[in-house]
Amino acid sequence: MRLGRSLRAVCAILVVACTALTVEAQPRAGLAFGRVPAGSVRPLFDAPEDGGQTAVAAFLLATRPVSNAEFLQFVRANPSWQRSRIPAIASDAQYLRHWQDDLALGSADPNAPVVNVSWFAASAYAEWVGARLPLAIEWERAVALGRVRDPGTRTGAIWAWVDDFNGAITSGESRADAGPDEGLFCAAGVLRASNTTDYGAFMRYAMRGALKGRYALATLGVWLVRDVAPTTVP
Amino acid sequence: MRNDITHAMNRIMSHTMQFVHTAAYRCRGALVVCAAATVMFAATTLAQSAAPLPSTSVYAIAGTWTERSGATQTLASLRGEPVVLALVYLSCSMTCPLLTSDMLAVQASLRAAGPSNARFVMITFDPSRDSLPALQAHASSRGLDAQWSLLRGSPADVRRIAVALGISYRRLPSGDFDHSNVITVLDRDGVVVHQEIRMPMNRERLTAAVKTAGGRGGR
Repeated sequence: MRLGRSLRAVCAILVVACTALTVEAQPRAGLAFGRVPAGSVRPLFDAPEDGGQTAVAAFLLATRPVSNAEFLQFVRANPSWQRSRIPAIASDAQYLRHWQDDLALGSADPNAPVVNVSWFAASAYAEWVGARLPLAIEWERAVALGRVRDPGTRTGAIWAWVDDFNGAITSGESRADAGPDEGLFCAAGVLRASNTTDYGAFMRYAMRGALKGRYALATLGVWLVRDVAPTTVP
Repeated sequence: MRNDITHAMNRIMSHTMQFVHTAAYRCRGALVVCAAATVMFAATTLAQSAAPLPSTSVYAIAGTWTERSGATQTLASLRGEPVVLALVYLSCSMTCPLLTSDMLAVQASLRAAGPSNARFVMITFDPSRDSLPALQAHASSRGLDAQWSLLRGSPADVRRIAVALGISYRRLPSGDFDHSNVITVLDRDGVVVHQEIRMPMNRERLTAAVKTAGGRGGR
């Protein structure tokens, strides 16, 4: 009976797929993480509530960004994230444009940092390997400690997506503004730049404010972090 | 996955046709033919609602949500009617209550113009404090009826849908949230067709957008 055979085939595929997904969802071999100790950061845009310094809990930071080869493994295992299949809501036309094809790097260096990935794709990759994207404040801490290279200070470096890139509630040229537009935002208090001479930080904040989650940029890659201890996110 | 559903539907229809062919030969008559026709009608109706999502639909964004009633759902289950959507949180003392008032006013305007199946959806920024009982109490106190869904998800799910809708927000040390003021209108397939992005909201534009999105005659 044709229907019965199809049903058994579907069940067999599901069993194999579930096994494969379980096996694959492990941190990539070859990507090491180092501990960033707890400390504090002066966020560039502070509010009275923040009180100046923001505490940052310890976290594990990858020693390098995600590579083209690693991202290729991800899209091979998760076809809906391939270049020809990803919906426009999740990425723009620049997505993985430096690759030859959906599953072929072409002349792209397998070991070079993957770029041209949207925030949605970067987040999905992080979830797939059991990691996450850094918070903006974690990235600022890593920069302050010299643990990540910043394009403002070294050539060839890339910016990396942060989980809360859409968390900056500012409008206009906010170095000296009175505060966020009360029509646009429901926001507490005044946001002022705490340090108008930190050009690198200002560039990072300005860039995040200009980003949309579907943008894929040649200067924006994926740098993973993990929690120090398993946490239950409320 | 859409192709698999279509393939399965084709298989069902071909098996049904075989049965009808055999039944006709055995003279089981009109009763059997009616039953087969009903099955095929159901199959084609299901196939239509399983049509692929438009590439710009926010319903393609992953997330699992719990409604105030306790039922879990995906956003894709909202498919089929226009949706008016806002991200708020219950402890918000500033603009969130006003956003709810704007949505209630849109609902009233739509009903004044005729029957409307438009849905009204609130997603909370604050799942840790906005429990299901709190959402139920809020719905009662604001008079949010069965056309309203109050949804609670994980912080990661909230971040994803906010990014998809272009909504900025951040959690403050106090537990409150800074956030942009946005009301979004989605069409029947979850594509953004209009957004009001500042207070005061233009209720007429929102109502007009819902009417346009819902315009198909009948449903």
